[in-house]
Amino acid sequence: MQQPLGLMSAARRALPALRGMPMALLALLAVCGVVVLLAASALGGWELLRAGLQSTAGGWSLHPLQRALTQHYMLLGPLRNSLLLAVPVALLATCAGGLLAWFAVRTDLPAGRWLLAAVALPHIIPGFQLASAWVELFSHGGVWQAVFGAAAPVAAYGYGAIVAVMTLHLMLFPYLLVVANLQAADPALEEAARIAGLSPAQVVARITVPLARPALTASVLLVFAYVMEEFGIPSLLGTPTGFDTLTTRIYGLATTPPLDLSGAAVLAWLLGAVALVVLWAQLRLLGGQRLETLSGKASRHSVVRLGRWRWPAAVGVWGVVLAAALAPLLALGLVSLLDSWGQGYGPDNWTLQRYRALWHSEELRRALRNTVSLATGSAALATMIAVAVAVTVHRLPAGGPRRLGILADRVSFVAFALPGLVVGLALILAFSGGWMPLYGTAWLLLLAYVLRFSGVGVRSVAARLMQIGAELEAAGAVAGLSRLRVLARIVLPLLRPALVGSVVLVFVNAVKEISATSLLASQGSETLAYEAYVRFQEGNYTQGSAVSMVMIGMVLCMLLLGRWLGRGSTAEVT
Amino acid sequence: MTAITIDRLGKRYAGQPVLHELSLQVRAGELLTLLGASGSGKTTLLRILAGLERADAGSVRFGDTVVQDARVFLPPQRRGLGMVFQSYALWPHLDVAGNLALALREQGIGRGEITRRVDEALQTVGLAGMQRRAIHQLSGGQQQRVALARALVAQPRVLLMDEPLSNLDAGLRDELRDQIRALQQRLGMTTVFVTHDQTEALALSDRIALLHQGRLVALGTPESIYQQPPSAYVAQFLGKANVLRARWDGSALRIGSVVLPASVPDAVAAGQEVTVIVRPQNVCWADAAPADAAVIAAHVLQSHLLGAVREYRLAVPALDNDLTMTELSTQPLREGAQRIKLPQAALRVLPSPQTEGAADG
Repeated sequence: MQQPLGLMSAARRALPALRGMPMALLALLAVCGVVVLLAASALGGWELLRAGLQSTAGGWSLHPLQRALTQHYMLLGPLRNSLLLAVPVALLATCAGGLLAWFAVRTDLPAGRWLLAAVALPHIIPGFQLASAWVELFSHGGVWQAVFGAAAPVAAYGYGAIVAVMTLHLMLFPYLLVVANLQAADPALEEAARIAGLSPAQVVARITVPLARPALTASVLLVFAYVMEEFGIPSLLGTPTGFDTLTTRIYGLATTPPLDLSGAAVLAWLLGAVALVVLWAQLRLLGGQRLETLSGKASRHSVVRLGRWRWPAAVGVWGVVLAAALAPLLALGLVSLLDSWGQGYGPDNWTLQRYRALWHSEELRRALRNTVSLATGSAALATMIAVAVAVTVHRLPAGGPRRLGILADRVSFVAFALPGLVVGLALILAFSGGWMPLYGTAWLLLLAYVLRFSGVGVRSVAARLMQIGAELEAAGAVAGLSRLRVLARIVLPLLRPALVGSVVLVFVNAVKEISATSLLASQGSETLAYEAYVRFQEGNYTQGSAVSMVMIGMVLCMLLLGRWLGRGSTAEVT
Repeated sequence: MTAITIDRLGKRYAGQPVLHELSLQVRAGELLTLLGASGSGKTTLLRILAGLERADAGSVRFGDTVVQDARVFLPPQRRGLGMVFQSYALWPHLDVAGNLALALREQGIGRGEITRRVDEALQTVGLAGMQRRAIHQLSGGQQQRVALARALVAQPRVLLMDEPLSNLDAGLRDELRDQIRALQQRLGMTTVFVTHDQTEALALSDRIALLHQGRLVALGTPESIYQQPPSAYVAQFLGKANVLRARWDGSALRIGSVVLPASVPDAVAAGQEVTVIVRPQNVCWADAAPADAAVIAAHVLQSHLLGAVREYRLAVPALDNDLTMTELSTQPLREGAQRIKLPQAALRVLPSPQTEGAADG
């Protein structure tokens, strides 16, 4: 950071005419980014709509829609399967996450504050890699059998496996929502119930859970939406047993010859509509009933003493949580070291060959390079767009540019809520052939990631921007700084935590992205996620696991770097 | 030194007028206080002077430079201002020296010169050696001084202060008030100071401009505006005042059944209704007053010790009114039936009748 800034200021001193140029260039780039984002969304949306209303001959027709509705395997079957997954996973994950949140916040469970790390780990690992770890653990001849000498107690593939892996993967959301809710609740509400004569268990049932209801409902909706759009897990665990969801059916229709892009488009409408309805319900929920519990004294909670249950609870909770968090990682790590799959797990069968392949195999090296540049590029672009959009919406007076900013804000939000497969399909339809044949290039992946993840940046930057008191900027203007200088010298430095957050989150999401990537990547534009996914799909678990371990390492490093860069950011900004 | 000429400024928010054709001249080098209740338009006027708001009508000149009229609008960064904000608005990502240096650096001033001026400004406000402190490590009073130093460091033509003392506790407020006054007099900088606190305004100002509902209702030195308020509203805003209705019979004032000798403005004709304002400290006990005034019977309803003075609430049936009275608390406490006098010099007579209802702000 220091070096380029130093160069810039040197250049500025040498050429007074250049004052403010880098800022102006960045601003211009960001505005171009916003325009491209809006244009691509409009084009993609239009092409997706058109594709679903086209006959094979080319004219307008309701035939694809009719076909999808009448042929069970196309729409109704996958829809039923998706719902069969989404409802139980939403409930299970909310119960499990909520219970763990209660243990962490309200009880004297040993090391309770470390539960977050344990719950976060299975979410940090991309879903399809968690699914592969499940297979490595529980398939015939898998790690479980090798360790315990008996057949695994659970199925490696199929419905139950998908439910388990998804619950594990998505438990983090309910955990975070309920923790925030519990910490915000006024402790006096529970204390008053104790004084009124309720037992600790009754307090939980009568006060804590009802107070947490908005968070629980929000969790159910959020997990439901994520299950509906999840592609990697059902693709690896469901497709082999013939269990298809909406996402895997779209993938099949769009990638398996004979291609049926019209049919895929109709399914994408449905999937997109579900995502938007859930989003709408969530916004209503959050906008409508906000519980008036925030007293600002979150620390002084009366703790529920587990008493003689403390150590049994600790063993139970930590046993399950640690097994769930670490077993997948250990399985991936172990399998990534194996020389040949099926020859046992002992050190005599170990090799670093799969890791060396990342440098020696041209394809994997390209994937590594692509992943790093795509993740960096999309993180930088999405963050610049986020700043442009947030500043336009929250700092400009009403008018044309502001209206454009509000539109971009909404579009980025919707694009983030849409399933990756829907975005990917729309981009294929818009950019394969025609006047801008980007399909097959890494540029289309960059566009997809910026489109999908700008919303993350916009949320984070806008939230921070709203915390910055207007007087801080007025003081800059009064002191003689132009608008652009106020932005550069006061607003951007104060936004630093949000900028770091945005860069880190977009980077991490881009590294992990598989659902749009599975449609858009091809030879030359592979990413590590794509390579790992393809290896797992082919049954090459050793190479897939090695690539996965490298990706997980990248993601963890980025998250730690973000924590470090965003430190000391609690200073008041109003 | 720069005079500020404000000519017929008008401003509306969502159709509601906030400033009505307001005209005012701030003399070069003076400290003028904009005093008023919340909603009086004083902060809006200050923000228009700063260029943070744009007036709908009228003009503002700094010296000979028009900074705002129907055609011209000079943005804040080109007005050459220093401003102290109510929240101080210190940039939390910069340390003390960084806050002071930011604008200087942007002007392209050399490093040595910046250091010299920053040190000098900190010296001026009594914070020498605090250059490297982070903002959140400072106490409220220190933050206030840094804000002042930041406003002074660029040697502005005009200094604007928006309720700069309102976030401090009482003792510190008085101390800093006196320091600001001494500093302003030493630097001789044209200063506009916004406050809702009349004590602050009286203690600090060369002149006070009192605003009420977007209009200028009084302008003058603290002495003149306090002693000769132009209206009952002004009298009551600047401190406690008894407001009485009276009739001028050509030679004396008649209030209820009491006849008081008084001098009245020339414009007042015999038989006309007038308003009489009496400050509580000017009400006297009959046994301690000059001989010329009428003796009036009164009854002590309540008394409060306020520290240096004691305040009485008196029922005065002959005046059809209750009166507030204060005297030094070293005097003996009185109770029950008493007699009072209203000396001629204590009566401020205003020509048009003013009801107390006008003073509800």
